[in-house]
Amino acid sequence: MPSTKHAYLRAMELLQALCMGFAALAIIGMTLIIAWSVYTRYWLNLGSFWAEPIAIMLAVQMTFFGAAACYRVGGHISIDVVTRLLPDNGMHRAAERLVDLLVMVLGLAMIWYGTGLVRTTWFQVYPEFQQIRVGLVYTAVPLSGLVTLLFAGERLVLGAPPSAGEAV
Amino acid sequence: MGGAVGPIILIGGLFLMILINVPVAYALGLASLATALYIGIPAEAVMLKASDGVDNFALLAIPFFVLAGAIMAQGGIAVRLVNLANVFVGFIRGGLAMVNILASMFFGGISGSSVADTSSIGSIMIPMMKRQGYDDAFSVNVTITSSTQGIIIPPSHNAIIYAYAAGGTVSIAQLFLAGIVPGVMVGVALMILSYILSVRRGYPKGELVPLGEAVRTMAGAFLGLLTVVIIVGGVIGGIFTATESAAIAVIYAFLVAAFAYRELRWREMPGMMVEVTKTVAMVMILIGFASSFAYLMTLMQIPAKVTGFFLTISDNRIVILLLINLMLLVLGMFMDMAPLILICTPILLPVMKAIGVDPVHFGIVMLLNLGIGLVTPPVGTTLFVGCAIGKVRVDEVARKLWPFWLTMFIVLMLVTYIPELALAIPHMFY
Repeated sequence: MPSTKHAYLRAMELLQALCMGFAALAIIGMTLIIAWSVYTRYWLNLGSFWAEPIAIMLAVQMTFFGAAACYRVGGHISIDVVTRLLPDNGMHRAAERLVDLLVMVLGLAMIWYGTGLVRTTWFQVYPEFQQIRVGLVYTAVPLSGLVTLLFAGERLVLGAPPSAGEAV
Repeated sequence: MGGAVGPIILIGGLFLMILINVPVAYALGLASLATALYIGIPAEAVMLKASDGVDNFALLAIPFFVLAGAIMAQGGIAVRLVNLANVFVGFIRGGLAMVNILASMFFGGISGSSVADTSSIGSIMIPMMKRQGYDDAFSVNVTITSSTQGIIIPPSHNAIIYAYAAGGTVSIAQLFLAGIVPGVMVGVALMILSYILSVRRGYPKGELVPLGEAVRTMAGAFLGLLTVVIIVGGVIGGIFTATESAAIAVIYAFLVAAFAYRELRWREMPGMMVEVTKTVAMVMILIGFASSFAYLMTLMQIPAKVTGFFLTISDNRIVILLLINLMLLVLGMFMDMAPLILICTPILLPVMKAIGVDPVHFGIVMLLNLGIGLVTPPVGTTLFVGCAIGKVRVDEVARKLWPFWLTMFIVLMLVTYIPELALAIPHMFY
């Protein structure tokens, strides 16, 4: 069914743009927060206790969601010297499918064990912020695992997305 | 823990998956996961380590350095550094080759990435060199080998990755200082080589830049180069941490590019941010899953066993350093820098400590060594980018790489066996 295929492709494109956009904004946010904290400390003589932990939380979110988007555009480091040597097209395809399956396994593990991690840390709070639960930070693991699973599934069924070739 | 099978699953599994083209970061995660399940520790620990691995203030310097470098590159710093280098070395025989090398040395102080250097300086220099009759492959080789200076010349985000992989026992300020002399040595050695080759092939020399223009050029480049002074000065002076000075450098780079150089285009910003995010997320997820991997290695005492193994081969420092250098050169031919730093440092650093090598010194040796790996085939990110910009075939460039490779190898050996080259400057401060 070409229309279902098209809809899935569009949905994944949107998801990729969301993850990438969120990660890019997180990087800008981190920069501004740290620069601001330096400014307040040296010129206003005020320490901002919240700056460091918030910037680090953003870094964790940026890492997991950014990495998922990076996977869809083929931006991760990988080594294709061996698979390029594979003789016939069928074996080449089989190796690619195997990689997609392995990434799906990792996505599933991130969902499953990441959820476990969120559960066990849900009732801990940060010393700096009594309102923020430690488990909230770890939600990036299962959520980005789900995104990675969806992207890997797309690759397995529909092949590499059209945008993947542009990434160097 | 895990007997012999655990380490085989962890390390064998990793290499098997890398060989079939699984992204290295995910291969690290999967190998750790399989090992954790096999030796019976909760697999949640793998996810915990991956997330806590990037939950670290010092690592925030990585996105900031990459962003500052990208803003500077987009904002027209490369042309100014090329002009600046031209003032100093353009008039010598083979001047453009030397300008290329010196500009990379300056650019290294701003970006710290060999690929970024090759694409910024290379896209200006390679066409210019080709127009003046320099051989295509020569132009690309000069560009890619000199771009590796940026990895060791401070500030460098790879130095931060090493400090992190060394378990926080190595000071970033000391690593930055230790990179200065070896970084300049790479540049000087390459300039000597390119001079010899240029004289032999009769490559042209440029004109001496008139004084007035020279002063104007220096003033223009100075604003950009002040970024380096902010970062390195702030870190070494103990005023800022590396992370804080990197954040300030981003703001500063933005102000210079937007208001002094006026070359930053708003519509180019989203594209630039996507590139920055890709680079940063790729490196950070590697760090995350490499932390899970290192945790399992330590749990199964693999680093201690590897140290024991090396010491049974020889307890001679010279031999062990040579063996490790050769091993890293071979690994570097196939794998990129960041994953190798993250995988090899926890394994090799105990060996180095056992034979009395300073961790700061070893860090510089490793960065220099893996920098060579970026330009050697079959897999070399910088090599590929350089060939794409120069529109030259990879095999042609690779065939003519050897004099450059040999020059870098000689510098590597000098830095390996004369620790003072790296350590003299940090010892002046600490």
